[in-house]
Order: sequence, then C-alpha cells, then structure tokens
Amino acid sequence: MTNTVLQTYELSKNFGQVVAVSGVNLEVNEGEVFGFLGPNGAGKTTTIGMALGLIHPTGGRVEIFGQPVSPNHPKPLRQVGALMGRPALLPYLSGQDNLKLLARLHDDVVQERIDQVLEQVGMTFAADRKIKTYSTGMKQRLGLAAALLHRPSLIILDEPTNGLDPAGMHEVRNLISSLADNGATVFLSSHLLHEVEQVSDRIAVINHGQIVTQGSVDELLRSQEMVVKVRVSSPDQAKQALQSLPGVTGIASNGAYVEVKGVSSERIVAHLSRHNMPPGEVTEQRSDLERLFLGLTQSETI
Amino acid sequence: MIWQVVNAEQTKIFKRRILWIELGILALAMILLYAVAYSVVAGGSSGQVPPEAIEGSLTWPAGLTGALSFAAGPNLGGLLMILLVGAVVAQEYTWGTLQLWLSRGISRPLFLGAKFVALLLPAFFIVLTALLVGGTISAAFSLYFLGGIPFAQVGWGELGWTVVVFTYSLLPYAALTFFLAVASRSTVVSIGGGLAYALLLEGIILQLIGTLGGVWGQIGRYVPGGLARGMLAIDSGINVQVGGESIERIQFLEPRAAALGIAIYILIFVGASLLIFRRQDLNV
Repeated sequence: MTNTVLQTYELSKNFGQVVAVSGVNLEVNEGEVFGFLGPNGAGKTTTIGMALGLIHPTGGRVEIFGQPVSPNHPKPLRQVGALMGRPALLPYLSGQDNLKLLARLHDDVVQERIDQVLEQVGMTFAADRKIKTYSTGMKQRLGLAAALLHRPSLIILDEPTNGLDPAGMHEVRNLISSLADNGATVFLSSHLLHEVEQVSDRIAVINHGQIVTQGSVDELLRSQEMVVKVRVSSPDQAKQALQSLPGVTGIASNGAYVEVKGVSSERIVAHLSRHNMPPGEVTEQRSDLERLFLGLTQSETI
Repeated sequence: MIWQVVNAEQTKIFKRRILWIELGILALAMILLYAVAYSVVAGGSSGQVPPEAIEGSLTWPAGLTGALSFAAGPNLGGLLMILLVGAVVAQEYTWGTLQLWLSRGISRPLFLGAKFVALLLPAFFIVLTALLVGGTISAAFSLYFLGGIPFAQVGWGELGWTVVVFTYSLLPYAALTFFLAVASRSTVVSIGGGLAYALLLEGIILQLIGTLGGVWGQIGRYVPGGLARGMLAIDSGINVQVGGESIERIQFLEPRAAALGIAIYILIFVGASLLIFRRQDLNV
C-alpha cells in the first residue's frame, strides 16, 4: 500500500481580492519525486508556504504524514527539510556555522553529519568562509545542505538549481534521484521542465492558482497527441485546407510552418498534395513535458 | 526545546558584530565623559558643584554605581538596546532565516518567546560593560584621589542587585522595538521608531505634559522612561522649566510600583508581538 506523505485538501489562499491558490488537491506518495510545475505567479510558492506552515490558508488544509499542518500546528514539519526559493542563511556566519546553528534544533545531528552534507553538496572547500562571500550557486548548495541536515523523510525544494551552472544542475539532479533511491520523498518545484521531467515520478501543473493536471509523467505524456509540423509555401491556405481533413483536433500556423494535431504525417502530406500544396518539410514532434506544460498553461498554443 | 532555541538565538546575537560595536561605543562614551569630569575637577571650573562632590562621584563606591547610569534604559543603554533589537529581530525576516526555522516545526510562540528571552543576556552585557569600564576608571580615580580603593565601603550584594535592576530598565525599550520589528518586519522602521520614541517622544511627553500641571502633569512618570527613573531611584522627580521658571515637578513612582509598570509595558509589547506574529503570513 502506498503511503501518502503530503496531501492538500481544497487548499486556498487569497491575499485581499487576489486569489493566489484555489482548491488545490495534491497527493505526494512516499519515496517518489513529485514535480510541481507552473509559470511565474501561478501559486507554487504560496502552496509551498502553506505546506511549510508559513502561510495561513484561507480555506482547505494540509496534512503531512497524516497529521494536519498549519502555522499554529507545525509539529509534523520536524520531519521535513526545505529549500525555499532563495536560501535562508545568516550572512555573517560561515557555511559550517549556519549548519551548526540549525543542528541545535535536532538532537541527532552531530558534526559528522554536518561534514557529510557539506561533502554531499560539494561545499566542504568553502565551509569556513562567511556566507556574504558566497556566490548565488554556493548559497544554493548550502541551502540544500541545510535542507538535508536532519535526514528528513520529506524534502521540499523550491527551485533548487537556481544560480547553479550546468554541472551543478546535473549534480543536484543526481542528488535528488539518490535521495529518492534512499527512501526520501522529494517535492520539487521548478520552472525548468527538462529538470523536472528527468527526475520526477509524478507531476502536478498549477496555473492561475489551480491544479490543471496531476499524474505520472509517463501517463501525462502518453495522453498528449503528437504534433506534426509542416513547412508550406502558403501557410494560411494550407491551414484552411487541413481544416477539412477528418480527425484533425488542432491547427496553428507559426511563420512558414503549420502545426497539426490528431492525424498522422502521411495523411497530412497526402491531403496537402491533393490540394496542390505539397509540404517542403515534415517533422513529427515527440510529446514532451514542455509541450504538455505550454499546452496547459498557454491558451494560444494548440 | 525552548532552551535549545534560546541558546541558538543567543549565539546568533553574540556572533554579530553590532553587539560588540555597541559595547565599544558605550565604553568609549564613558571614557570620554569621565575625562571631561576629570578635566572639570583638575581645572577647578566646576561652577556651582564643588570639586569635592565631583571627586566623590568619580571614586568608589559612588563612582561604581554611578557608572551604571550610563547603561540605564532612559540613557545610552536604552538607545543601544533599540539598535540591537531592531537589527537582530527584523533582519531575520529579510534573510528568510526566521521562515527557515519555523519550517522546522518550531511553534511560533516558542520561537518568538525564545527570541525575546535571548535578548536578556545582551542587555545584561550592556550593564556589565558599563560597570566594568566605569568601575575600572573610578578605581583609577580612587587610587589617584584617595590613595587606595575603598573595597570595604562597597555593598557587593546591593551592587549585584543594582546591575539586575538596570538590566531590567532596558527591557521596555527592547520590548517596544521588538514589537515594532515584528509588526513592520523592517529594520529601518523598528530602529527608527524605537529611537524616535526614546529620543523625541518620551522627552517631549515628559516636558510638554508636565507643563499641564495637576494630574496631567504626572503622566510622565508612567511612560517607560519615567518608570525606569522611578525604579532606579535616579532622582525622585524632575522640574519642568517654562520660561526659566520651574512650574511643576513630576514625582516618579516608588521603585516597586515602577518595576510593576515596566513589567506591564513588557507584557503588552511582547504579547502584542506574539498576537501579530501568530497571524502573519511569512513569504518564502
């Protein structure tokens, strides 16, 4: 039986007249990497704030390990580690001292564990330097170390690769995978779709404060129709001609190209040839998370 | 858990440069004022105050307790406390460390309570610095003027109690700034508000309300500065000068009542901070 680690029920938050989050139902299962996607301002950070007991929900509730969590009931968060947006560090202390201070909240965190997490995020070399001398990427790595310090069962990461170079991003992806392999549950919020696609078992997409889809990455990608992209000499005429082709579920023109959904490339080529508009170039676009995301969050995309 | 958090909060404060800079400023200000007092005695230009009286206030045992007045709430000590509390509390909102710690499952009342309790030790350090610096300088004056240090004349138990009372006199200023820091989440607003109150408002209240006379004239003794003066028995009251004439005398409360008044201020400010903090949405 799958255990639910984090669950939200009709979670909502209004800031005055602004609806930031509305009726969000999320279910994160034990041992999985759960990707949380959404454009800027979609409600990701507010949802995370409510999950971490920092923001009072206007409606609904959050449960972590089956126990309710709110700003006035934060106890279940003892088993949670979080990296929130930008890393929260005391600039006048060294990296090591920041972790030592945080370690005081957890009886089982000793110096050996501090050394271990510093090694894990590749920050041993700068452990004794003050935070104010760190680059953005270094702060991000140390923030990650702080999140992992007490061996939490649930790790909530909001944009963990912010400020990292490609090698650093690759390391963080590997780290997330290894955390899940070792039994931790990871809730990963990111706008980097490729990153989420590579490491996540399941995802949820939030837009305008509402969850627009949720499920396993494979399932969601399979549910997406393939897009055939054809280059034609007169896109408007081709678009008009393709509207009469049975099975077409969407057409959009993009410069010299026409993008068609719902039918095979062979049928499109044959249909355009019959209308004396043989395409110069035909490509089948594999369904990926980016297309899924754009399809769900941008109304103008087919 | 509470002591773990208090301990961690104290480490945060004591590792900050601002505390040590403040203690340095206090020491420097005291050295300067003692130097001025000595020059008055040495130059014989003490005006209406006889040089012997100044000499007496510079040497032990009067010099020892007199040194503490620098660290009192209504004096330099209160201003230093406002600067410290504003920086220590409000900046954590900006750095996000407050949010990080709360996301570790610490309850808000415990966290905020621990933050305030952690301020007691730096307040004590401010008073202790005044005692050590003033005590050392007045010991030197005792050697110079009296040829020795009159240890036997010092009531050590009473001195210890005075240190505690002076520390307590700093707390209403700490509590006010604490409240402003939590309510505004801004270092500038909390420090600016605290300093504006201590330097301008409290002084103006004491002066202006005093001119009203009667019952109104006594309101000044109920503001934190008036209560601290009453509790510390710095003086029994003050004359309000209008047009060069003394028209009213504010009678400060007796020490116990003043101490109770200070406790009420602390409870109100810390309680209000807690109420606000519990309701705050903390952006991540």
